[in-house]
Amino acid sequence: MAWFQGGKENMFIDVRTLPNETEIRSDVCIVGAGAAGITLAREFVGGSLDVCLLESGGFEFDSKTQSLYQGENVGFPYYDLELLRLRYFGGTTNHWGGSCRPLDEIDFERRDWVPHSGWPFDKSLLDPFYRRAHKVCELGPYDYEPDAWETETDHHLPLKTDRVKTTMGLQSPPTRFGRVYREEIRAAENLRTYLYANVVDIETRPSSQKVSRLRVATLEGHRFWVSARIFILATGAIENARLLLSSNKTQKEGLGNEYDLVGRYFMEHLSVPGALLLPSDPSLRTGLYSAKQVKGVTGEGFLTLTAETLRREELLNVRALLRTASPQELTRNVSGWTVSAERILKEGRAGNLSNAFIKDLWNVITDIDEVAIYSYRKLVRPAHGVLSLYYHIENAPNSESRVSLTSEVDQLGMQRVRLAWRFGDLERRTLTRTNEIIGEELGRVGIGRIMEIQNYAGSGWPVGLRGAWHQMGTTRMDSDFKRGVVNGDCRVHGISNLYLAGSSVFPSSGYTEPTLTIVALSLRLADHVKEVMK
Amino acid sequence: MRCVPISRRRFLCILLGIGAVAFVSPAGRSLRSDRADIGDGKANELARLFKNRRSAETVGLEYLKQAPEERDVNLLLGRLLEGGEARRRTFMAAEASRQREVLRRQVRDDFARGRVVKVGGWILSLTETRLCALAVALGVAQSRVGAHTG
Repeated sequence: MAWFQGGKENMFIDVRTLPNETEIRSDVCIVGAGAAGITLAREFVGGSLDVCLLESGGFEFDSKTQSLYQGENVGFPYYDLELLRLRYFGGTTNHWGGSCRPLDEIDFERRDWVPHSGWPFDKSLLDPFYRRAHKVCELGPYDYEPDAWETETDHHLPLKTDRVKTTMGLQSPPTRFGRVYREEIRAAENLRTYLYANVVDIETRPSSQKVSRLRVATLEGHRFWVSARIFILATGAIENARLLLSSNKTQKEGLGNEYDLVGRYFMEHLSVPGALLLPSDPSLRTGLYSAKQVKGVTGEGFLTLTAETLRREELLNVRALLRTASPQELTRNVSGWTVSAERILKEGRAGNLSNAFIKDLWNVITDIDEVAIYSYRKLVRPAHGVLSLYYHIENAPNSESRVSLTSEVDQLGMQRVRLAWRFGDLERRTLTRTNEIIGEELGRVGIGRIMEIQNYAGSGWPVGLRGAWHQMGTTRMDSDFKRGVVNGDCRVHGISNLYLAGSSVFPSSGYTEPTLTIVALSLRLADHVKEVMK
Repeated sequence: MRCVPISRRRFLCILLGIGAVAFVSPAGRSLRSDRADIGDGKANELARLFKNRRSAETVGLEYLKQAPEERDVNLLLGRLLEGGEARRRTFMAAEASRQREVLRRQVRDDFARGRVVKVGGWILSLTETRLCALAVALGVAQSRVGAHTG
């Protein structure tokens, strides 16, 4: 067996060119070159540790590698798993939207009304890493206060309440990690990146308390080994769980899965059009709630419930984006209803409201919104904006929401995944009650009236509810090994040299996009590993 | 809950025009549940105070489905103007501009206190929906008066 420790002149290595059964040795092995993996790798650049970074794909999208992501969706309708993530250098940041915000303080708390909530630490421990993550994601100053974003013309809504507030999110360019950091990684003398390298098994010593090496394969049939002192999986929430579940030679239920937690508590954000807002004042300015640049940084405001409200009402965390209502939201089903509306309007204007008017009204009774709004827009052109409240709702940890393995195998012989995304009453109540609270607060100061969007699908949820392209929680963090897969340092319970990076370790999801937290946790993990390796 | 279609413009006009609604009553006139009193022609005056009577009735009708017991002018007035007969008399005797201000504040206060109702998905103040229901009740009362006197 040949072993390979790389040469200085070529730090990107196509493993397909290496002899079969090569053993790659390093101090630290990072699996996955997405936001987490690249952040980790960069933190070791120039240090004393020898690091290898394994990436399944190359520098560009290729369909064969991408097809390794195929899987089943058996829960709430969700995106095609093959299209959800990207499997080449840079990972899913290659189609990342760029939205950034830290989790809120309450997101770290153990909340009585949210079973399985609570991180092993509070937000203050992560704050220094959030600040460092800002630089990684090419954001500006670490400032999320709305006041800093107000201009002469754009202010936050004049709410006089302790229940609802304006909050800001920031926008990364977005940082394509694979492109922005490629040269830095290539030039690092102590870092080697292996492309087209797919981890298919994690081998442990018979006691299962230490990882000895990784089995790596290519689609062309080459096989290698990677040995290291420390291993870090950074392949995303679905794939991290898949790797652990698949590595079942010594622990038949999968690594780190003694208490059947791996793959469970999959979380997404419920992204749902929740209400329409008709402003009382046609000149209502909502510029702060659109993405805009201030001093070179893009930010966007939205409405959130205060922590006190969340506690008092026992709700999940949630935010409401203000958007101009789309034509689809306004006129979803035009044909017969619009005809009726026109007739109503014509007869109404002529003062000829007759029995036909009543009949027409009943014809449209199941979907007042489109017809009425169509009518409204016709009547008041140029119409002032009808706005949508578009919600991101936190997904409560749910053990039945999970990633598991199917019997079908991929081209590498690995079992494919099955995803069952689930949520329920707490999310539903959060949506309903948030509409009510925001409606009350907007009415209280005369901003306008809101109407709950009431077009529900057979699922009992509003039509248009979908995930937000955020996968979290499948190898959750908890100090207690019976409640978590990893501890507060992101080390797998019971395995001394295996760590997990990325959103798979989130015990709760908040409402905000996960990327900034992924990067912050990765920075923290890198510091920890350096400390351990001293 | 069934939704009643209603023009958004009309609806908004109602809501924005709430401040323009004034209840006028000769000072000292009783407001006991006495249809004869309403049939004295005051129903017409009250009805004309709504900017768009028909829209108000549409909303009012939808609301009354949830609260059919409020299809009564005196009951509605009592619930609109809580605080007893004395307050009601004072309100009815006040200038129209003052009445508008009272109602406007009451609408805002409803939202502050969570005194809201969902009508066709709209989250509305109880005051404004009851005002619309009053339009319905007045319309019924008026038509009965017309039948009596016609």
